[in-house]
Amino acid sequence: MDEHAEQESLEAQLLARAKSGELDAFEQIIVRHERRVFALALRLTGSVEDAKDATQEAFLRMHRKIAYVDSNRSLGPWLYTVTVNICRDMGRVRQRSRVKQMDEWTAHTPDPAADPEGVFCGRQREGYLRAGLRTLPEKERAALLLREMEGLSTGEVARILGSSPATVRSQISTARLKLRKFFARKSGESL
Amino acid sequence: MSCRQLEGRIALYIDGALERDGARILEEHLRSCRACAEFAERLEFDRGMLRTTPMECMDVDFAALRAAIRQEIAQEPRSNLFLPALGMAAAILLAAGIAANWPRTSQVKPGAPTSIARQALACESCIREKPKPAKPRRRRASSAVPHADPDLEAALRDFVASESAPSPADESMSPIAIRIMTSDPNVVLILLQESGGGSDE
Repeated sequence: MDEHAEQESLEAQLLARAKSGELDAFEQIIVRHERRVFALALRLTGSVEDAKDATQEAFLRMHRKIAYVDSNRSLGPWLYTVTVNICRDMGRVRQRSRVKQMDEWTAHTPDPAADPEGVFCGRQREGYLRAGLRTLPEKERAALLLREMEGLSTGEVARILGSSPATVRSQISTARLKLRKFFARKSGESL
Repeated sequence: MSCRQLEGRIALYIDGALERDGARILEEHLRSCRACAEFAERLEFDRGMLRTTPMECMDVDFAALRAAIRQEIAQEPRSNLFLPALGMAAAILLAAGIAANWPRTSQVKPGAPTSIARQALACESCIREKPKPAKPRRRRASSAVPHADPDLEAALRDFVASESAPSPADESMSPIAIRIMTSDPNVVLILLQESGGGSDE
């Protein structure tokens, strides 16, 4: 049995135990997925606090619906679907304050021309990336992040977002171009 | 096609979403066009950035997050865990109840009286067997079904006796009387049917 299959088998066992009410097993599932869920939520919402809330809510929803989670499938896509939905709801609630948030991020985005090497290091790079992601429409952002961060196939992303694979392919491609244009504009480079 | 127009195709190529022939043609172009090759490199760079784990992941206290989740779960009603099981149990009980009370039509012969008709027949035979006029009885408060007027019952018996043939040969042709009691003890509905026909009872 290869490592991937072994991990899936272990997860299926944990899920079965969690379904029977074992909180310890449920917590082990959280440990396995919390960082990825948080990272996705962070890039979807652009806020650490929102990402924490979204992560907590995603696992609570999982706990409430655990009886309906398919044990034969990987938990990842199920959790990412829930996370995307939670972040979308959060975005709708905070839509009014989004413009202000955007301005704050843009203001904190480092000037790439001043320190081209520093831009792509650590926190600055992350801020730079998140500022770019925030310029994307919700679905394009989600499609791009699910594809790149989680390494999901176009079909899997389409299922999560409730779109067709062709639409998702187009959204991802458009998102890449928009993001590149944002980075180019910020760094003053020509495309 | 200009290099600017090729950007969309390069983005698809980076994602592996370009068809084989299109990818081959683009690769040839990338080998010969420095601007497009640089653009493809930048897209790959962006891709690398997206794939990195955000630095904040190192700062977040996930143990505290889990503790908060545990606390929330503890506060949620436990019944949530058993709702699906309860739903299933209710569905099984309902199905069993329906199956137990389902009329077994295959066991009822055509023309055979239904359970209501049998009760009416029993009632009628009871009247026939006791031709003596019933003594006026006191109405019981506890009785769920109020008794009919004794005079009316006597009239019914006379009617049934006059209508039904006493000979065994005509027994099957005797009329069926269905008495329906109403909430008003003075109101009794009587339905008469010509024949019990093919009744086995």
